[in-house]
Amino acid sequence: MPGVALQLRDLVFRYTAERFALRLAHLEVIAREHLAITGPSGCGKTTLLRLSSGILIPETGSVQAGETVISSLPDPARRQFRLRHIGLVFQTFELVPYLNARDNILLPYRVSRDLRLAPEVKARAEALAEQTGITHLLDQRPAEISQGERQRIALCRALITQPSLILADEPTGSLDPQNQQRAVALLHDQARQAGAALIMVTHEPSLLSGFDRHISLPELQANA
Amino acid sequence: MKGNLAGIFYLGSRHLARQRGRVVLLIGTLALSLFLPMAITVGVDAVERHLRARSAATPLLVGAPGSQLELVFNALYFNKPSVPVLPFRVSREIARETGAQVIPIHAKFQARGFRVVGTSLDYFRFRKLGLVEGNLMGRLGDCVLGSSVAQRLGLKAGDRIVSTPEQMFDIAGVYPLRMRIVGVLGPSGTADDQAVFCDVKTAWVIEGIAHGHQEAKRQPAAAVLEADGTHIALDSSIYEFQEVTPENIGSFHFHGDPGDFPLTAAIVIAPDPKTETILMGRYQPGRAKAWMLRPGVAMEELFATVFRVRDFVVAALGVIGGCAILIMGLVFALSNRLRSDEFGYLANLGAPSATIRGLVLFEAAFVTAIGAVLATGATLLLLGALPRLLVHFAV
Repeated sequence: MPGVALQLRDLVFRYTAERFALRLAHLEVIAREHLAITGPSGCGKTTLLRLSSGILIPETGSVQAGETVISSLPDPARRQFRLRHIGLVFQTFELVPYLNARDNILLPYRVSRDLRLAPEVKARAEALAEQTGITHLLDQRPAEISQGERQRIALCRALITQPSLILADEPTGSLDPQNQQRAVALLHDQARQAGAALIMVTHEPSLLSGFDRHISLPELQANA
Repeated sequence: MKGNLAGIFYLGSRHLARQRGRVVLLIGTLALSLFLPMAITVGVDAVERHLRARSAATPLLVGAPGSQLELVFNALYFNKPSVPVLPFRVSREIARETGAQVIPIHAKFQARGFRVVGTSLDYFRFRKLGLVEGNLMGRLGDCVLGSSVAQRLGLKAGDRIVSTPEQMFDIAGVYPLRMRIVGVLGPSGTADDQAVFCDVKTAWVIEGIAHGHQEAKRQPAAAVLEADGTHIALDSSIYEFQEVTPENIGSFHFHGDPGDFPLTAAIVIAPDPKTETILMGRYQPGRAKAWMLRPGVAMEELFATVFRVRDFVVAALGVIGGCAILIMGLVFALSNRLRSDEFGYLANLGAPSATIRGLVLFEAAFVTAIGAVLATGATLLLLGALPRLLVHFAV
């Protein structure tokens, strides 16, 4: 029986000074599962991913990734866990503007005290770049390349630490429909090759076909 | 969790490389803000030590009434050549009446840009100046070069050096004298390195008080304008020697009363403190026909002024430097604000807080460290070069 990649229980979160609150009774993602979370803008999809990665902490309830209850970890340990075990693809890619593509992919190793930037890591970065078709861009900075290419760099960075869980926050938001399909296909391919569970939030119904399961966040909250 | 130092350095240096112009400007501003007050403080202290050492080694000076400071600078550093003239008679009187050793100084003319100092052989003993080549002056027209003069002009014992004509259009004025170099002094790190020493009588030849020319009585009658039993006046066809040689040295003679011959100053070494006190009383500045002074005391007035100016300048530079550092702080703060998105990305990714703090501080630490190193290095270079600069500028 496959293990659990992510489990959220009795979650309540609200931003200070805002009326918005996210309530979720239970959500479980099994290992290697590809889950799409849909919902209109502002329904809390990004907040859910941030809670799942430990960037945000719920008021009540728990967030468990694998065997680790990350919502009960102190901030430094949560950061360490995120770097080692969770690959994040952000909506705006969050690439560092003064670094070239290669350094952006290797960024988790530059900022972590625990991850060692060994030659095999650099080789893995080259291999990921080749698989995603950006080898020729490795010395370019984000400002010098297209949105689609930045998205691939962000994907390589999410995969470089060989995470067991990939969280992608509307990674196709700034792409045209054709490139959206390509980008999502790439995410599926890379996550499967890495053996990682994939959770992607999107409000684009046309992108759901490749996922094992998809849930609507408003419906999930209504059941809470 | 601690930060990743190698990562901080790598990312920090990548960021700085993208901001080269700004970083160079900030480093330059900081280096200058630190260097100027340090250089002024260190430089003034070094000049003070240098000046004090020379003035402390000179017990008494006598000179004509005028500026005491100019007198000190003329006698000790051979500048201020236009000090009032001290009659040679005064130095002879002091020596005769008190038994003090009096060393004449005639520092008025130049040879190829260096001061010609007429003095006596006692000067070299008094200043403990040793020769690295040749001998001290033996006769009229001989000179000894300070070490820097010899080095910079490429001259040695046996060469010649010509004094610089002082008044080109004055036909009755000073003629250049071609002097024989008989020795070169070792370096002393003082104004002596920058001087051409000759006997005071040779300085008087340059002044035109003494001269040598063809035998007047052997001139053809056509050249004689006027003659009686004791005097003979000749026209301009008579040849006046411009170099003292063994053949013509006998023709050199002085005109006038030797007691009136000019000195610019004289160093006085009293035999005992009592004599020194008597001399100070007898030649009290402001009252006597010649003024006696202790160089160290006269220099104190200068030092007091210099230190007041230095303190003011350093304080002003401190305020300017403080403002520059505040502006730099503002630049760093603005830079970090512009980078807030980047720091947010890193935090989202899982970068430890210490790493992010390290990146925030890296630019300021880098600029501060490099600026401080440059300022300190420049100050040390200045310190190393100061002895040569002081000698070069004849201080």
